[in-house]
Amino acid sequence: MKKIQFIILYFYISLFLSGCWDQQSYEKLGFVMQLGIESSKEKGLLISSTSPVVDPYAKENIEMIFSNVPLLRGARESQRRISSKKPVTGKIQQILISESLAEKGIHNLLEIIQREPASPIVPYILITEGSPKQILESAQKWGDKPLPGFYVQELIRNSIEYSYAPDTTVIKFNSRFFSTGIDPVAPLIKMVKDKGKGVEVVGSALFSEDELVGKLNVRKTSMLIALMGEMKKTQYLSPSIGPEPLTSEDEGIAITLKLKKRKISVKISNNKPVVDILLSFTGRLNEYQWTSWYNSTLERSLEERLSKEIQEECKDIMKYAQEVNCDPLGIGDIVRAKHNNYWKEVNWKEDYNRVAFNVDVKVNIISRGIIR
Amino acid sequence: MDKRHDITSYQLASFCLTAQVGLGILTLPSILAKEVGHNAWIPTLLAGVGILFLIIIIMKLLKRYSSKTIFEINRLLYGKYLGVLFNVLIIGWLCFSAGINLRMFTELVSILTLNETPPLVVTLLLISPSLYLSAKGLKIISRFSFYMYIPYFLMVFSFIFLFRHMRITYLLPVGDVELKKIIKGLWLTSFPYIGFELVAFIYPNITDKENSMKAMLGTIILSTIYYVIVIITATALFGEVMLAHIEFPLFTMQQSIRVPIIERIDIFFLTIWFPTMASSMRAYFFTSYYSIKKLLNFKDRGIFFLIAFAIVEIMISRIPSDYEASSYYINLSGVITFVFVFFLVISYLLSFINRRGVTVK
Repeated sequence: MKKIQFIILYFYISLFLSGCWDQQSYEKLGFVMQLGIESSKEKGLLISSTSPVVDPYAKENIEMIFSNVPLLRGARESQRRISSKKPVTGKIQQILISESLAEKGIHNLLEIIQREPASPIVPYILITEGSPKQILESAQKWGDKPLPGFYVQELIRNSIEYSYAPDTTVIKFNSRFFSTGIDPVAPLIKMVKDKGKGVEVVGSALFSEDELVGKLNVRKTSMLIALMGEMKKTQYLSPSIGPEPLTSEDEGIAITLKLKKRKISVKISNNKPVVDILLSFTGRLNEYQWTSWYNSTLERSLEERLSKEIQEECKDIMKYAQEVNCDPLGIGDIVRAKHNNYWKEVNWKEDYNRVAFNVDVKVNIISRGIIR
Repeated sequence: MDKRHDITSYQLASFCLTAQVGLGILTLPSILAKEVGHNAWIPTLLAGVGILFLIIIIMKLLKRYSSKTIFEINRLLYGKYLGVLFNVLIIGWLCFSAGINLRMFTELVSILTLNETPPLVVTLLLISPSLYLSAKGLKIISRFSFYMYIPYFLMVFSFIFLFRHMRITYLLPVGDVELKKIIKGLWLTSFPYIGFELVAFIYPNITDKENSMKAMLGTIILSTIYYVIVIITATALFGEVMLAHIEFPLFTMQQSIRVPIIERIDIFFLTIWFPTMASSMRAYFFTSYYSIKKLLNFKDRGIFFLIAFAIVEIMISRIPSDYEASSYYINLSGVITFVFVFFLVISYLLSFINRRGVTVK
C-alpha cells in the first residue's frame, strides 16, 4: 500500500511539476549558428545572424536577420520581432567581428556569451577583413556549399588542423585577455571574390589585450602557431629552396612539417629578458625536383636550408609582434611565473619591446615518399 | 532496532563524501582565486589536513561513548537541562542547513537550466527523490551515495580533454602570497569540507565501528585530493583573474570542452552532477529528519511525519529571496557548522573530566 502511495506521489510530481515552464519545442526554435558584429553607421552595433531553415519547401536554406542595436542582446530581441522562430543561442558556432571594430577592443562584446549559461563558450572568434554582414549575406548565394554555419565551421577546423589559423574560442580569448603577460590571437578571414564562392582564411589577427594591433599572413601564422607550441602540422612551401640553378617555373620544395618539440626558456641577462626558443620539426617531403638523385647529402642540405629559412621567419614574426606590442607566446606570463621579482619591477607592456629573442630551428626530414 | 538504518563503515564514508562534495565545489575555485589567486590549492590542502585532525577528535569522542548519538552524549556530559538546550540548538541548525541546502540546490537548477519554472515547483521536484530515499532509510541512502563516485570520477576524467589548454605558468610562482590571505583562504575553503560532522548523528548505526575511523580519514583524504585537483585544473585553465570572475568554474570547465558530435558536453555534466548536489542536500535532510525522530523517540514508520518534515524544510528554503541571499545563508550555516565542530572538540576534552557514560577509555 505504501509503495503504491509513493508511486502515485512520484508520478503526480513528475507529470505535473517537471519543469513544463521551460519546455522548448524544437520546431519552434531558430538556432543561431553565426553572429556577425560590426560598427553601425547609424547607431551602436550592426549585428547579423544566420539560422538554418529546416523546411523542404523554403527557397533559401538560411534565415539571415540584421539589426542596428546599442547592445548585443538587442539583436536577439530584434530577431524575435522578425522571425517566426524563437531565436536561441545555444548552438552558435562562430562569432565574426569586423577588423575595424576589433581595433577598438572586443572583450566586452563577448561578455554576453559567457554570462548566459545556455550559450556555448567555444564558438570560434573570427576577425573579418570587410563587413561580416556582407559575408553572411553572400552566404545565401553559396549554392555549392553546405549551410554556412557548417561550412565555415569545417573550414576553420581544417585550417586549425593545418595551422593556417589559431584555435581561438570565446573562452580562450577571454582567459588570455584577463591574464597578464599574454595576448590573444584570432583567425582572420575574408570573403572570396576571385577564387570561387565562400570565405578564405587569410591568416591571423594579433591583439594587444583586446584591441587588434596587427595581422599575419597564413605562412607566418603557421610559424606563429609553432612558436606558441600549438602546431599539429602544416604544409610548408618554399619557392626559394631548390636545386641551383632554377630550371622551371615549378621550383622549390613542399614539405609537411610536424612540431615535435617546442622549448622556451626565459632568463634575465643584464636586466633584460632573453628568450631562447627551440623548435624541432619532423618533415615529410611532398614535392621537390626529380632531376638529381636524392641522397643523405642532399637531405642534410635541405634540412639546413629549411631550418635557416624558418628560423629567420620566426625572428621576423617575433620582431613584428614586439613592434605591435602583442605577446602571443605569453613571454610576460613566463617572466611573471619564473622571474617574479623582475616582473614586479617593470611595466611589461613597455618592457616587452626590450626582449631579445633567440630562435633555433631544427628540421629533420623523416620521409621522402616512394621515389628516389 | 530499525535495521533500515544500519550501515557499514564504507557506506558511512560514501554518505559523508556525498554530503561534502556537491554544492560547495561548484563555486570554491572562484571564491578562492579572488582571495588567494593562483595559490588557491595551498589553503585547500592545508584545510584538508586540518579537517583530518578534527575528524580524528570527533571519532575519538564518539568512540568513547560507543553506541550513543551526540544528543545522548550531550545529556550525559552537560546534564539534563543544558544538554536538552544544546540538542534543541543542534536540531535547529540541522533543519536550517537542510532547508538552505535545498534552496541553494533549487537556485542552481533555476540558474543553470529551469529558468522559467517557479523555484517552489523546482523545490518540490528536487525534494521528491530525497523523500523517497529518506523513507527507505539510511542504508538505501548510503548505497545510493556510493553511485556518486561515478560522476566524481567522470568529472576528473573530463579534465583530460582540457590538458592542452592549460598553462602551468598560471600556477606559478608557488607560495607568493601573504599569510593573512592563506588564513582567509583556509577559512573559505573549509566550507566545502562540511558534511563530515554528520557522523556524530549516525555513528550508532555503524555495524563495524572498528573500521569507522579509517573510513572517515579516507573520506577526508579523498575529498581533499578531489578539491585540490579541481582547483589546480581550474587555475591552470583560466588563470587566476578570469577564474575569480566566473561564478561556477566547474560548470564553465565543462563548457570549455569541445568534443565532436556531442558538442555541448556541459549539458551532460549537469545531468550527472545534479544527483551529487541532491545527495549533498539529502544528507542534511535525512540527518535532521532522523535526528528529530530519534530525539522525540518517534516510532512511526509511515510517510506522514516525513511529509510534514519536508513541508517544514520547504518553508525554511523559502527564507532566502534569491541566489545571493542563499549564498549568505549557506555561509551562515557553514559558520554554525564550525561552531558545532568546535563544540564537539570541547565535548571531547570535557569527557575526560565528566566520565559519565564513557565506555571506552
